[in-house]
Amino acid sequence: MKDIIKLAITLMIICAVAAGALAVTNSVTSEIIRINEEKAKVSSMQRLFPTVDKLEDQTVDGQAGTVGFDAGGKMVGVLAEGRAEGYGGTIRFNLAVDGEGKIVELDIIEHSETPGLGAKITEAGYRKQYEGLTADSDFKVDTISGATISARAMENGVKKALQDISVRFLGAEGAAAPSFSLDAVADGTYTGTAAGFKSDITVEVTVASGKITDVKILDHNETPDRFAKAESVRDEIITKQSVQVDAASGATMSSDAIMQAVLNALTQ
Amino acid sequence: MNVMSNFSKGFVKENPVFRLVLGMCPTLAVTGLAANGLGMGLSTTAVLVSSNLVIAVLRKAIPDKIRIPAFIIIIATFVTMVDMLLKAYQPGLHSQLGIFVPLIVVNCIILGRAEAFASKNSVTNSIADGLGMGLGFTVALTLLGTVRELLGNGTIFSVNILGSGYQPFKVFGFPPGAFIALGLMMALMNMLAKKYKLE
Repeated sequence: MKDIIKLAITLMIICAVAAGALAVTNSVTSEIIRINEEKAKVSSMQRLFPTVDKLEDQTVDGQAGTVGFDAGGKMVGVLAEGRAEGYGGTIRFNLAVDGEGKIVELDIIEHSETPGLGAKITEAGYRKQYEGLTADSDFKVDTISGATISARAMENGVKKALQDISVRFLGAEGAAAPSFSLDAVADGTYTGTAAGFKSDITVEVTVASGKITDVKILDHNETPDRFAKAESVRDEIITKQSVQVDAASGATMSSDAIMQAVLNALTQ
Repeated sequence: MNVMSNFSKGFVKENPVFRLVLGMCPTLAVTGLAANGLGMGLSTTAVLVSSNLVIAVLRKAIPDKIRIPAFIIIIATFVTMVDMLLKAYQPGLHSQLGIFVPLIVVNCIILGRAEAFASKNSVTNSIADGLGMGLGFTVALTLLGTVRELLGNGTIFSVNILGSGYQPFKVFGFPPGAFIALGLMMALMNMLAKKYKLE
């Protein structure tokens, strides 16, 4: 018993000293890290929007952003942070958007993606593809071979961040949530397309007396045995009369694409 | 063994990568570029020297039964400190190495040297051992990174060596290429060791 107490106390002392050492290091470095990020922000604002005369930090709906105004007081652009859930954890990036809602630059602040693979999202050639896109653009950029998950996370994350920034800082209309009711759909046959895992999936949906009676996959280029699993989604959509059903395990992306394609068909 | 030989053994005779085959995870994972190998090696060296120092000082105070948790806490503390310092003073390198800096905690060279050397030897010898092992690791990682970067990308330390016409051996940039490059370099090291009778 006495032995255990002695061991526990020794470990406790070691832990306490370690915690103290870390607290000291943190108090020294956290300020420098903050100033580094701050400095990077100011200099990048001037580089991004040469006409910037005045910077103002604003927080809208919990999102912090730096808004730049020119000498005449006109808003020339916004720099705000966005996030994406990558392969190795959260990716933090800065998005510079001009007054018209176009992406001027995408910059990765922090990520934990695999060096040499997912970390390629930080390369200029990859990031440049986002420049000029607006919230209405089709967010399809060249993916990175060997790092599909990181690249997809960026596509979705940047799109979401751009929409948020447009709404919060540039006063754009909020994007309407994709709501639809089957009642509003006239009888007939509709085709729709959505991006699958490898390429577009095209479906043909038949609606009769307010019900989805058939879903046909017209065209796809997915991995065959994976896609066979995803086909169960088609039956689910008909049984449940809903475009929001459970994805087939092992084929999430193809499943989501089928649902999206059906939704696209019915809401066009 | 004197201080000098404790220092120098890490480079060739007991090189952690080529001879002891320790710390394979970062060795294979971050050596796609020579600069990443160098940065990782130096960060590991800093942790190794610091943890060897502290463990050698405390070697009589730490009871045998809890030595492993005690070593891990000490190592983890230094790794976290290195992580924070890199982030503050070398943000570029920090973002390149990403997750592999915190993962120095589980690098078996560090725990291995703590257990096999620092817990049994004097402070001076432990520092020499940590410095030698760490720099040996750095040299090995930088060499491996140089070979892989040259073959996989045509560059060394991001300087183009092989010209724009070079069709890169892409596989060397990926983990399988790391295994192949490491295997070939180990074979070369074994051959040289035999030839110069270093065993």
